[in-house]
Amino acid sequence: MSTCPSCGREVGSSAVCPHCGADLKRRMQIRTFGILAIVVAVLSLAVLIFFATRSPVPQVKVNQIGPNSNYAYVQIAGVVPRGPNYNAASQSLTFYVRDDTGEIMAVAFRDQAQALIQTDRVPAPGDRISLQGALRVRAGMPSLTIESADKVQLVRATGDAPARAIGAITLTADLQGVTVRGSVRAIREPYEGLRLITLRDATGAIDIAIPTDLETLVGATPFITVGDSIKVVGVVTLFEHTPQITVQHGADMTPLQEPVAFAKFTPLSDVTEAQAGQWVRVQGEVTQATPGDKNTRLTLSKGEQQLTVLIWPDLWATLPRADLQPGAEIGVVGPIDVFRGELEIVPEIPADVAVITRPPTVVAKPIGAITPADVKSIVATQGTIAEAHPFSQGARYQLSDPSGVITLLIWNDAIDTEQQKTLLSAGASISVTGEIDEYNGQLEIAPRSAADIVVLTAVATPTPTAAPAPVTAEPTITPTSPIAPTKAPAATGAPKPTAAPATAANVVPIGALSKDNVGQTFTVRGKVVDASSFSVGFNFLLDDGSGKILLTIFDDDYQFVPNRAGLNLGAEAQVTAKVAEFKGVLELQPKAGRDVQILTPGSSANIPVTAINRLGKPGERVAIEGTITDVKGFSAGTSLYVDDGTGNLRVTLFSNVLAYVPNADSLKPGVKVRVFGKTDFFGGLQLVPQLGYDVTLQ
Amino acid sequence: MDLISLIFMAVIGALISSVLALIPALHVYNIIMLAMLLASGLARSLTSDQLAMLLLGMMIGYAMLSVIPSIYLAAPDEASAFIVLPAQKWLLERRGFEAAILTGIGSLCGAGVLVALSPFFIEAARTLQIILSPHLGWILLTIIIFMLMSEWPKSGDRGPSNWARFRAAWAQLGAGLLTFFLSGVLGLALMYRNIVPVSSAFVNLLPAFIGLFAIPPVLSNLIMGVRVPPQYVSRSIDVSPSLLMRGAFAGTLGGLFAAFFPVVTGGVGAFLAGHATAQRDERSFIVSQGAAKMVYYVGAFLLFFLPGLHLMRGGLASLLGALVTPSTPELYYTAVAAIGIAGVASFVLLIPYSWLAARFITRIDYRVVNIGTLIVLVALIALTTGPGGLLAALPATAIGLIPSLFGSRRLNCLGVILLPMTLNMAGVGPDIAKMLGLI
Repeated sequence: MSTCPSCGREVGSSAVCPHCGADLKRRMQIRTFGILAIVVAVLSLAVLIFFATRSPVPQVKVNQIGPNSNYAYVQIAGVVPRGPNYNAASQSLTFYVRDDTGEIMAVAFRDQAQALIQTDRVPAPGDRISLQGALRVRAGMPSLTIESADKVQLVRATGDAPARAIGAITLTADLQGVTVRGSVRAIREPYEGLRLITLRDATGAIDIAIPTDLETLVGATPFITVGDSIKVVGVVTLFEHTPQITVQHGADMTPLQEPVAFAKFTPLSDVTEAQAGQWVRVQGEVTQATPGDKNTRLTLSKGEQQLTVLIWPDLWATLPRADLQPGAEIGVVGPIDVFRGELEIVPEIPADVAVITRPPTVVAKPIGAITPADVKSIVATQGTIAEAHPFSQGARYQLSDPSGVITLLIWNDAIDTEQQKTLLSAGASISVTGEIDEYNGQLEIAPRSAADIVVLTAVATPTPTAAPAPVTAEPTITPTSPIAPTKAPAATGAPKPTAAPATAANVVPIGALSKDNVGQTFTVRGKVVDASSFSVGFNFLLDDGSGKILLTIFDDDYQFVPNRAGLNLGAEAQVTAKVAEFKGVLELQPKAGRDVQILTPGSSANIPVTAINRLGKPGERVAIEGTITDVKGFSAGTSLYVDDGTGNLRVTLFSNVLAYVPNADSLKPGVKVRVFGKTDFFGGLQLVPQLGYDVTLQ
Repeated sequence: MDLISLIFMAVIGALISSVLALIPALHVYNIIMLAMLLASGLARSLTSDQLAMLLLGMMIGYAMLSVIPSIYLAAPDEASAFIVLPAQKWLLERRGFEAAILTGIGSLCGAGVLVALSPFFIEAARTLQIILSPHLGWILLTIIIFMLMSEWPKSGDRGPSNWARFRAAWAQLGAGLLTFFLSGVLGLALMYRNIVPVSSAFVNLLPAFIGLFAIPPVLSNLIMGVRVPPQYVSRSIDVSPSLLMRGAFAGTLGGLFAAFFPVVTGGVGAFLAGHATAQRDERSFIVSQGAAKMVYYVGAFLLFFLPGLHLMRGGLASLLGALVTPSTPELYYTAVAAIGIAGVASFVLLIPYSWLAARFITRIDYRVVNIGTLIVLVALIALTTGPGGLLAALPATAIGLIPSLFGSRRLNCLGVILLPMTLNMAGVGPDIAKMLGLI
């Protein structure tokens, strides 16, 4: 007895099932079909892989990539428009590729990122690049994930970088490789991760940008200081329409043994108005030093030729002022300027002013101690003026103290007659510094300029001309001790030669301000290290090294801050403001916007971009870049929804911040933006820009 | 008004899907892919929010109503693969109507749980994502190992010799491993190479999924020639509240797991939940599968609406994410409301649909239905992905037939995404692809 394998009923010895008609002799096992399926699967899979590996990877243009291209494995060729970002935590390397149709973000993760780093193939600005990877499209924004570092091919922009004069580098050189040589004029770090070196040659100056956060990937640059001469191989990039050179590798910057001469030596007699703007090196004797609140002016003379050396207060504070006095021989490097018809040379940094011969030592003596042995030496003394005896080229005054009498000789070309009338009234008590001479057997003291005379006590009776303000502190003359120069300005940050100088009067260290100063007005200088907004204004945290203080600018004043776009992270600012106390914290409240002067503008533009999916906790200061996917208004402002391919983030723009966003009307879906702000959590993670200028359209 | 119009769009989506879901083996993703490929005007004529809601409604309708072809026509998707065994048994016992309604009740419970838990999802998902992100690689690897190790030999306990028994046992286990390996290689080939044109790369896995999951059961039905007995339409359902609760809990657990974990599908989630909750009763099992399906498909898509998280889980989020990004809490809660309303609407439709199916199933010529389905599937591949897609569907179909012919789990076909993604998360995906000459 047997059963039918098809219907399961008894069939006896039949060859065909009497119930269902199934053939009982010639049958195939289901397992046979199974083996057949395996054979077909293996063979057809092999054929598929055979064709897949031999078909070329399609090359696409950026503008051809759409939502339907998601997950495609493609090849893209173009130029790297800006520097890469490396996230050490996720070991991801992000950079952009630009072709003639658009720009796309490329990402290499972990092993692929490490392979690019180890084989020195981290893409840098200007590099021509061809790469393969898988496309990812999120909310219409494409990115390309590199699956194999071997499929990234680079042609370095700096591979054959031609030598260029700095002055010849213009906007048209964007992303071109160049080699420049020059002298280091300044080194600064606007924020952690970027070092800027100002380099100058005979044709101009340019900033060298060194992304220090990438030094672990591309090597560190050698240690250099201001005044060093260096050679730099880099790529021209643009920062807010200003060319700069971005260094790709630490080794691309090399110190030079031979200094780069960027200013030609020019005798004073050859300095003319035609040289305005040109950098020259001059040498001469200081015949007059006129310190001031706004600037200090030294008169440099060589024979009959004279040139004014204009020194801004910041620089003056760093110079050996005692050596920059009449009689000193100095060399000065700087650009020639013409101000109200007068030729000036304006040094930038301390190294631009070199003291060749120190001025004669000033010795303080009572009048009675001055003897013929002091002739031709510089002496400081004080006494009371008797009547004047004018002559054609000046006037002689009798100067006396209880120890003796000396002639005070005033040349009209040293102190003009009007000043003489102001300073030198009979009966006034003065301190005078001058060269001792002897004339007709009489000792004379001849001041070199009005700065050599300080009125100690003016006469009680009014004079026809206005008398100078009395000096309250009476100096004590100590024999043989050098006389200190007169008023010296306070030291602050780096100079900014092209901008109008800020008033340095009464600049106080921030650390010196206390609650005792509440209600008083002071001038401080400092770097903006943080910025935030509140409902009716903005706060900036100023740091001058001695301390930090909050600068509070209300909306009504903020709009009148000159060049307020530059009042941002890294800016150097000088503020004249009243000290106030708010919730136990000292702050400065300027009376008007113009009381805030920006000495060096700052910006958040160079803060590295963070991928949205890397944002985790509130309170972080981060920059993101992406495409606006939605714009929604709310009672106190507007929310943008920005997608960078890794995530979508709400950007909350409060009304008072939105009011200062450049081209705010263009904030629409599809527009690419860069936003710097503080992360916050309110019904979800959001980014809150603190300043309107932290939101920029791209 | 805007809110109402968005929910209206979701209901419209559910109604559209209620018709499309009745076509055997036609997955809602396939319909949406085809629609997006052929009618890009759809995205232009609707706002991004309306489009998202329409697709959400379609997903809800599909999750609820695709049970009808799954049970009556034995054409399950990969998430329904587990339902078919007990449900087919019920069908042969004339209880197909009851099985469909029981599954629908499970789906309705799943939708209810999603709505109830929705206020907690924002923070929970963020926290879980932060905690789990660094560990996804080894978690996936563990799931794969568990899947492969939990294959058990269904034969081999009897045989003329030790070797014969060993061979019989390992034929099935080996078929499971081979299925996983071959489908994984297929996945690598599709992910690292353009088998399909760049312009339709977003559906590059469609030929593989249709080949692995849709075509093999259709071919099996054609070969086997199944006959369905007349069905009985019952007035009550054979389930107690405790069984219902137990099934809904297990299903929700599996569905949530699958919805949140990348790469893990509803089938895998249900498989893990089934083991975790040790279900033995068929009734609670069927309920759990309905709940798992709803929570997986709809919950994964709901995660897409979480503001600020940019979570893309499941095929629909991946498809739609290329076009739009829902980003406001308002839209999220609108989606939650839509799940509730469209879920109930779909369940209401399920009862008459299932009644009609039970009534007319014996009059349907299975062979005609299956041939028609096969034609639709091949046409879908050809239309969306061209000759390259057909070339990819051939090995996929052959691989998909191995489980049917050797009695191993069809779930192993998920190697097509599990293997490449796990290798990628482990950081060796590109190396393996390089070894295969793919890159």
